[in-house]
Amino acid sequence: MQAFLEFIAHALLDDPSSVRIKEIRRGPVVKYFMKVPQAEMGRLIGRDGHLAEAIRQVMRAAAPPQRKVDLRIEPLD
Amino acid sequence: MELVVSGSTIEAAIQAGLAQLGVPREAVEIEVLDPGSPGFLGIGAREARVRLVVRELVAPSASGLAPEQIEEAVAQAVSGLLTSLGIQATLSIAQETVEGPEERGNYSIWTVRIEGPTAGRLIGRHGRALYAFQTLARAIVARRLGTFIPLVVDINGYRAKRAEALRRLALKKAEQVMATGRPVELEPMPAAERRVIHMTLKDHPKVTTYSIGEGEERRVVIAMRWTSEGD
Repeated sequence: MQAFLEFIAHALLDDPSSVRIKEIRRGPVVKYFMKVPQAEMGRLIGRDGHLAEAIRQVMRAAAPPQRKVDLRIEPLD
Repeated sequence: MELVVSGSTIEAAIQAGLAQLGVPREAVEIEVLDPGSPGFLGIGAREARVRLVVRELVAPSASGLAPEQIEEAVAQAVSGLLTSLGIQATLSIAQETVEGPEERGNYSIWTVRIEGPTAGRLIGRHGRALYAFQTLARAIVARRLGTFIPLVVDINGYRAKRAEALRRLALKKAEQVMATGRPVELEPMPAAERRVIHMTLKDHPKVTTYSIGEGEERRVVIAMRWTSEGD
């Protein structure tokens, strides 16, 4: 899943090298945190969050059956 | 360019808007402003209103992009997504030309067919993951080429199979509505699938269709058509 998020960052952002991806596991749930430069947040989120939701949907579909995944996109500080 | 149109149903409004703009459906973003209401016996009926926003279109002549360039960008985006997800599959990419009205020229729609034993995971319930995958592929290609390319993604022939099943379901439920006189609510479906139901029954003499609910809960209702002319 990390590879997928990295690919998305490279394909959509001007400055993919500054993106930080962290995962937190709690039992069957894996939550991904993607930290992105503030100016580029919109590129990943899309209009009305449409793109971010598409990223989540694809992650959920590709995850192993017993695993729940979620994604949060946050500004780099 | 954008346009707000109304019609008796959402689908009718969209069709009217597309005809007015002279662009294929793949070229617009559709926002439902008011789903409208059939009212009761024509009382309280309200027209549906939609806003169509035309995305920057690629007329092959005007974009300055060679088909090979577009095909390469599409292939890289889709295979990159699949590889990063650990899915092995084969791709075939085809360019289809859709005739537009004279002043806008012809449009190309790019179809990507993904085939592979594990690719089916990316279809998801009611194809929702497939449409999400398509959204990502479109965004990546648009970013790379600087312009929106109408791109349709299919996985293991899902779209054609699903459309056929939905048409059969629509006709069966229409029979049921006629037999009982009662409206039937279908289960929630994404927009592309609701559209197949609407299109299948749009010229049906006895029943009509509309959608209710929001977001992931949005679903089609098939009901008796109430005509003001009588019959």
